Amino acid sequence: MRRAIQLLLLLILAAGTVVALRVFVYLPLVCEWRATGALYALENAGEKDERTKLEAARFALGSLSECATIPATDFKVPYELATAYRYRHEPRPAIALYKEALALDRRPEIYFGLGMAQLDAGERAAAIETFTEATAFAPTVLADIPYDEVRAEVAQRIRATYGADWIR
Amino acid sequence: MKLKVPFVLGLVALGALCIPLAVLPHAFDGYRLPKDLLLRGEAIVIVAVVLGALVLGAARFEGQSTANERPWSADRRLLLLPLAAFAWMIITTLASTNRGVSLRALATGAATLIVFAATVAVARVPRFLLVAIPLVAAVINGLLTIVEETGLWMPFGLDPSVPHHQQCTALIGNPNELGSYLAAAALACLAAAAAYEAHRKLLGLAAAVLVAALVASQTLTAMTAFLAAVLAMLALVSWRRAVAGTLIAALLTVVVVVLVPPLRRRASNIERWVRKGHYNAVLTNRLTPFVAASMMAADHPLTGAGPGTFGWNYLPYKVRAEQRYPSLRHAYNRETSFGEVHSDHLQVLAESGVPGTMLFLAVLASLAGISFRKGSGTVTREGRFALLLALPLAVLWLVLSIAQFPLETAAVRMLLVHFAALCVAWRAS
Repeated sequence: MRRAIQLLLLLILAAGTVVALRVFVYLPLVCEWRATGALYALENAGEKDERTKLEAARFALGSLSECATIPATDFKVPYELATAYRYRHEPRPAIALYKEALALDRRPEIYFGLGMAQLDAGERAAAIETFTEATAFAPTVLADIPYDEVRAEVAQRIRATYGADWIR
Repeated sequence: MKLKVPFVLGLVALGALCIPLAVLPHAFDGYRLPKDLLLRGEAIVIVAVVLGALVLGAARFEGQSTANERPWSADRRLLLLPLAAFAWMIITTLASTNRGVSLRALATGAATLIVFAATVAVARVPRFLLVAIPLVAAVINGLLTIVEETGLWMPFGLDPSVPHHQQCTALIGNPNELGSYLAAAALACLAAAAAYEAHRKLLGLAAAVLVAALVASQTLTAMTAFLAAVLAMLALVSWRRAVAGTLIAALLTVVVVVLVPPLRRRASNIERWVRKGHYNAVLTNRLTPFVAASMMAADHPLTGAGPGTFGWNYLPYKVRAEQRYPSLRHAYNRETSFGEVHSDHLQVLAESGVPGTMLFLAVLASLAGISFRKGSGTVTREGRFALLLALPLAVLWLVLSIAQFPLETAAVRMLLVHFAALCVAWRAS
């Protein structure tokens, strides 16, 4: 009886170890590899036509769907998934995922993507706020904002809050 | 059935060998992440093996040691401080500004503590293998460094848009981390060469490779830390040798700086920047993260901002730092998102508060104290190794932490932790 209980406990322990190694070691490694491929695909598609962007989005969503189910090691997976949804003109899931990425790391590129998604969703005020956050950290982001009136408003906010020489 | 020690010894040795060599080529984070994940894997399997041994009744506890093993009670005092530091990490995680991020850092801290405890446990039976294995990995990295810096071979290709030196990272991933890693390995190699007469020639050769690689890495902080640690080692043997060593080191430094062109250029740049008052440039433009970390510490003096949260908090604090000190806006890396402070002293202060800093310094002090514990009777080779290495290792760690971040990267941290564990296990009783 004692042996049977020991065997059962060992089996449970072995199974738990295999699951832990898969979730906390193997899958994060695989996802890092996939995230690298997705990142290059999305970045290369950024300046290209709509068709290329949709292709890159499809590739990223396909390769990273499993990675969204494990604890993230950093911001890359939610950020890339968000960018993929933005390329597909689906701003709501993009906004949610950008915010998930911001909970892991606060970087100007994440704020910039969130701002773009908020513009796509018609949330202009929120987008201005987000672009201002990004530009306060990295002033060169201002030049990447595609809409003249949005860019002008962000520049005005930055100058009013941080001074005229903040953006050089 | 004795399952515990053999399996755990194998795991500790495998981890010490493989962690510094683990890479995922051409991945975005192809150097740090594989090492962090391998550490996690090692800790998971160690815990599983120990639990399995408990289930089978094969685990041994205090009072059941064999003749040539140290009893656990002797190590308890030195294990309490790392445990206290981990307990503080739990408290600061609960109080963290971002609990999710801090939980990840806490998991890394737990894995580190598990491997440290496992190393102390298996080293209770002294084995040269535990010294040699991490040095093998270090020599591989050292040889790769020399091969890359001399331009003989770049194993992962050459990116024309990145300066050549920045790509000479062996399997560690970053020239600064590589310097810190090589400095720690070279120091341990010197201590081993002094302690193990039978392997002196081989260890001496390994030390020469590691020191050459350290110089090739051009990491000022690592070289300074190594020099300070070697002088501390000499002082343990004889004060006169330490004084003579200091003079020789000063002379050698001048010679090396004059003869090695990148170091000569750097010295000339530093002299020019100091004259012009460009102190941020002297600090390699790291003044902004230093100021941001100080502000974080000022806002959270007791529990810090939370383990692992410096990078997450950097964006708003960097903006505040630039508002307070406008000259920081001129830094060439103004838009860089710093994930680390590039000073572990400041990072520990920012993330864990004043108590965290005091615990960190107390851990280093207790490590240094091992060099002054001389037991009665003949000192074994392992005991001599611990006596020679403990204080210098603490000095190296202290100096590295001024302008580097050994705690934040698995390769450097685990090498330091491994040798610290050996010092704890092998100190004279």
